[in-house]
Amino acid sequence: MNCAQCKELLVAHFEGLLDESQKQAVAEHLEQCHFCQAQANDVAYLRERLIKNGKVLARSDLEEEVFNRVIREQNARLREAAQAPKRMDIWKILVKNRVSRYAAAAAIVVGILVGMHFIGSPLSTTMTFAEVVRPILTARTAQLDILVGDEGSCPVIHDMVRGTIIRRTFSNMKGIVSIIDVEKGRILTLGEAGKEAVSIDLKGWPPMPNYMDMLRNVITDLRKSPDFVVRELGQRQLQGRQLVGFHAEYPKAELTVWADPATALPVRVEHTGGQMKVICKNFKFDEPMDAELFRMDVPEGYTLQQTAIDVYGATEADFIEGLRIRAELLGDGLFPDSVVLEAYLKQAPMLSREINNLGVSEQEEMELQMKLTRHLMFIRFFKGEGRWHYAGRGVEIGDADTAIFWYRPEGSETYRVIYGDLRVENVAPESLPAEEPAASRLVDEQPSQPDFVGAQTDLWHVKKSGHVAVRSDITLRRWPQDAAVMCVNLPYAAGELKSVAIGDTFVQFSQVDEGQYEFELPLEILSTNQIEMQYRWVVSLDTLEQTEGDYRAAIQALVPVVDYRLTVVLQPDCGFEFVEDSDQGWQVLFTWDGTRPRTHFGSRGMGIQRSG
Amino acid sequence: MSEMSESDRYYVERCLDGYPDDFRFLVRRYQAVLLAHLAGKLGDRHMAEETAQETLVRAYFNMDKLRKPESFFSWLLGIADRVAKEHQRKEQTHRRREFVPPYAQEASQPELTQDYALEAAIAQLPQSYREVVLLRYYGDYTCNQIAERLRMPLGTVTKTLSRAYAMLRKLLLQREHNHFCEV
Repeated sequence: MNCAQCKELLVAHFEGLLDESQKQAVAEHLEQCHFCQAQANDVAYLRERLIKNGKVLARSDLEEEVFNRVIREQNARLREAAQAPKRMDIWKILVKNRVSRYAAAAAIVVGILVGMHFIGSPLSTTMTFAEVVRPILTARTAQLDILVGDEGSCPVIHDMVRGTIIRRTFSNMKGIVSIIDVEKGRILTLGEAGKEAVSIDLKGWPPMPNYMDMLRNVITDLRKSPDFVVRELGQRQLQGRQLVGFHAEYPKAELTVWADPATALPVRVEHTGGQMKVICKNFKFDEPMDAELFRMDVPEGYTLQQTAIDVYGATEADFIEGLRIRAELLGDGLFPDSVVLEAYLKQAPMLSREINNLGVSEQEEMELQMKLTRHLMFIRFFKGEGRWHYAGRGVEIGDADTAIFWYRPEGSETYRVIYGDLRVENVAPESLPAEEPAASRLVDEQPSQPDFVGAQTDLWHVKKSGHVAVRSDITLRRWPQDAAVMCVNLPYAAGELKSVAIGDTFVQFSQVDEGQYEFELPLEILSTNQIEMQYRWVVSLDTLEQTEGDYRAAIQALVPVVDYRLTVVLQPDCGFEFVEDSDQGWQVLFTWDGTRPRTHFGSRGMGIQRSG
Repeated sequence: MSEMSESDRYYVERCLDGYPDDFRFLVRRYQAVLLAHLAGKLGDRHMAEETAQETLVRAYFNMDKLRKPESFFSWLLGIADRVAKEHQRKEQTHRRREFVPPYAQEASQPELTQDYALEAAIAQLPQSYREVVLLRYYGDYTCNQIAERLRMPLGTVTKTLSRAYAMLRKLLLQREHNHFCEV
């Protein structure tokens, strides 16, 4: 072997690509030739450097971050396409951020008013039927979840009630606990993260008896009321169990109570009163509770901030001042979309953050929060006649021609109308701005996008029994950060859900209606980047629509999706066959058309028939 | 590694076919290659990571524009080059604005945990040589696999490597020499 030949084989030699005789020849040449030896050493050294560097880089892991970015980008595109409000984005980011202590305090005051609304007004009390209300009349402790607004998208308030004290947590403000003494009108809010405590004295808090006592009084009063009409709804499958329902209408409120027929315990209460919808559920009565959880003194190591809020004194001027703050400081010159409490509660962490960003002093920030609180109180303890009306959504501050809010003060013949420039005029009823129909107002306050958006892959397995066993894999791309409940609809009312798994964990679910199921989402997964779920459900082939002997599949996703794929395979000897030979099974695929995530994709013949 | 044994074409088509998650196999396959390529170009580990991520995200969203799925890798490197250029431009404007002295870049080098000189040398190789080196050492391909991928005889792969080594050595020596002269 000469040097040229050796040089040619050197790389192959290092790569282990030579046969025995070639290897031998190269080795022999290298032993004799110092020049080639030196070259071989150079190559070896370079290879070593390359391999080492390759290993260093191979350790880096871009996968997770790339996918996070892809998902973020995808979400942004989804939102853009559906023209959802931009703040959803901010909202997502903010939920993970710490809320300033004052801001949290104000939000919690608002939250309390929400809860009190439910139990505080005689109209809102729920239990009308003697059996159903008995547990409330006798309970010493209670636990319940309160939802204000629409189930599935609104934050959940969890209350533990023990005597006069409520321990309250919010699903969208983690690490924050409020302990509320309703008798003394005092709220202690503890922020775990910064070891911060805020104590708020509620001035003008009405002398409230014991929380449960009050509820009892309300019930007693209600029962005596001649206007209170109760309609029985009979039995229904709800939350996974058979429940008996009562619907009650009062001049100003509507109320539905669902109770367990066996125990007469109230299970779920839905209440629409004034301009607010409240759902109370997951009641538990008389469970032992640790007194430590209800202590009103500040734990060691916490810094305490004290303040007071006047609860009842809110005036029209307070309301207007709040509108000004919300438009000028927080809304880029636009009035808020809504002035109802639930909307504020939902956005509380975001608003807090924006207030933080204003760069004002702590003192100023506190004042701002107090002003906002009074603004909200005006609506919460609305003292006017009938309904108030808000039409400020999208209106610019300073717009003197547009009426943004009007109401009729108690005992007044004329309305007070607030315009976009925040002046107020007295207006006769006949000259009022045209009233929007109540229905459209409600729709307006709904999110313009579905809450849950995903991609779904279905595998339908046709079994011997004539059943289809379905596995639906869903990757959620978007979900409300504060959702506690997820609801899914099977394509068939007769379909039966067998299991739901999130990641590797199975979750308990319950049937709400035919083919409709709901389950609670574990809070900890809401802050992850992607939620993988697997549903298993069955439906009988007989249920499927048929055209000329061919079974038609309803192409319907469990949640709104941007991508849906369905594969149908037949179990061998299941008694069915594909009309045309197909080893692959039958497939159908829908991809997002760029408009809106969809649930329904029509129906398709699967091309299967009974064999023989 | 069986899950990664499919061809680029297969994964690209899967992604386009409604299994976007399969993109992760492509990420795993090319992340080190991309990093080596970009670190050499940019001379900064963090910037290389950032650009590599950006490159992969752009690739993900533009996959439907890839006409030949089998040439995913070259296409990816093309995107990487564009992204790197954008970053450099941004960096320059940034620097000009901040009046950072020109040797600031040099000063950041000791932080590098990897062989920056080597990466820089690789970045200077002609494209066909660079591809083979990147695949061999950063994509963990054997010579046979490279031959198959790039549709060339095995002999061409080893010859390319051999020349690439020679060029790398020269580039590295030059660099050391320059460095020595500066000092």
